[in-house]
Amino acid sequence: MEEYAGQVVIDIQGLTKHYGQLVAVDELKLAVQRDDIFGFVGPNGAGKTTTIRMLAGLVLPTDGDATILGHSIRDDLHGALRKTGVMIETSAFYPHLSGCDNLHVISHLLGKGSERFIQEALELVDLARDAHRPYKDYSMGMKRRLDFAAVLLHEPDVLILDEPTRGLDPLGTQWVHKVLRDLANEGKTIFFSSHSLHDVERLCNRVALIHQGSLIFEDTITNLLQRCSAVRMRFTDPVVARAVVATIENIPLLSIDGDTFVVDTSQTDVETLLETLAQHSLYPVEVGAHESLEHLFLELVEKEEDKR
Amino acid sequence: MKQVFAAEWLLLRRSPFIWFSLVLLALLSCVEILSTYGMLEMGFLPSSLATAALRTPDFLFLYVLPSNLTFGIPVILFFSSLALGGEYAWETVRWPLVAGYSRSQVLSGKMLALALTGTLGGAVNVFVGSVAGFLVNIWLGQPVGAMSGEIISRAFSTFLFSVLAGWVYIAFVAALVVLSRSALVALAIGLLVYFVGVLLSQVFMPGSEPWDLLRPYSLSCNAMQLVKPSEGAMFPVFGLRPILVLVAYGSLWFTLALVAFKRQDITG
Repeated sequence: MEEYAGQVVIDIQGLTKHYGQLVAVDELKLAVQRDDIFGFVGPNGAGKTTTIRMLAGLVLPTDGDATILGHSIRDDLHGALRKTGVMIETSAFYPHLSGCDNLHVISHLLGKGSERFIQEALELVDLARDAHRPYKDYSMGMKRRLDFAAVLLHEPDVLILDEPTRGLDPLGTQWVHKVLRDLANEGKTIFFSSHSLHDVERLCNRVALIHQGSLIFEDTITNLLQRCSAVRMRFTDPVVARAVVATIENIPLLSIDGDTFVVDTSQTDVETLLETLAQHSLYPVEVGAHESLEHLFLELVEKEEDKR
Repeated sequence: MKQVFAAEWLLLRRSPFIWFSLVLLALLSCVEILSTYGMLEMGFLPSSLATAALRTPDFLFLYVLPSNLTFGIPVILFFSSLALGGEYAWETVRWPLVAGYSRSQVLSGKMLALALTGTLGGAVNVFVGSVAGFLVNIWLGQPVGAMSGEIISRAFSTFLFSVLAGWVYIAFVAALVVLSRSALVALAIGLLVYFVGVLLSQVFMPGSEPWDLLRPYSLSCNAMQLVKPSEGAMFPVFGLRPILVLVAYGSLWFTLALVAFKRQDITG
């Protein structure tokens, strides 16, 4: 991201979309910071896909604007998408062409016709062996991999992904999680929509909840977890973790099950808790809501509906 | 737009519809040649045409091949609607858009590639027809002469006029595809409008007063100038007016397609 120095990579400013009387997205405001893995969640029909299609220049906003890497999607779409990889919910390729030929078409569009570049993208998504099979014969998982290869051809600094794990089996989902983590480690900013809170909990540092076109919650995952009365933490070495936790005062431990520790957060701040653990060189590999995050989101959605 | 064109051109080269259409255009040309010479052999051609038919290659280039336009246009409608409509059916129209190209660049690039394909189709049609015509002439024992300079220029202008007519129908199909978002709907409407136009202009309506008023402005009538030689003329005669009418229709369809595409949400 050497050309863009700003901290806010995606800045959505009052983006609105009406389809006749239906308000699909209503004055949405969001800011995705550099290096964020930002989860954009909501139930079906909430407006996630419409928002992403507006960012990608596929759907024309009724009102508002958004900037990607400092370029307005209304005034400079080419600039906004030049270093942005976009993946839309459903895969779309030419069925009669092979995966490799589909990537050739896309690389021509991007002005990157190098065979080696395409081959590298195919190898990265583990499709090199099936590259010459017709796309119509691909499984759902292979189609998703080809989607990722197409996104990587952009050499993106920002990735905007719509339901990247949709329709995938657990192995496929795991693969997507790994790819997203690797891309984040390379310094890419990732904005992805999902209705799977499992994805969000595992991957994101920030999350926004949209319902009926309106934003009802936006914060860090840590602050979201703060709303839960207990969090679970998983450690790679539970024996060491157990020994260290025993030496720390004020850790309201509720239970330990194998490598998973459940900590009461009704009185303690999650961030403070993590800092305390870090001071003792103890870093959980996973932190999540002990009660279902879905339950928490449903509560937020219900509250929003009550307000209306 | 250069990159959109390059991608589209690559895509068209890999499309089975395009190769099928090129083969079809070549076959049409052979059928036209063989049927014309068949009629000549059986004595079904009018005497003026029968005499001219033996004057290869003049007759071939200026009478037989332009007649291919009647069935060449439906082939153009076929591959254009499938190529553009497929983009909506598979939602692959998203790729140039998410690459950041403006909608006018996307549509222009795609239409330019289709226009080039149409031109190539016309060239294949002429080439295969010429080879077939020369072979038939040799088989009939007729002398095969070289074309005069005048005939070359007339043959060339006739070819360009055919290509222009093809481009107008590509623009027509583009407007239909963008408005309907369906290859089949666009193809059905395109063929219907074309054949009704041809029937009205060539079979049912000639000579009737209201039709004579509309004739100068009809797309079919002007596109078919090549097919129907003017009275008393052996070879097709066309002036500036048909060219202007075709350009006006082409601009109208292209503008309509562009305006609709610019206002369209790609929603899948």
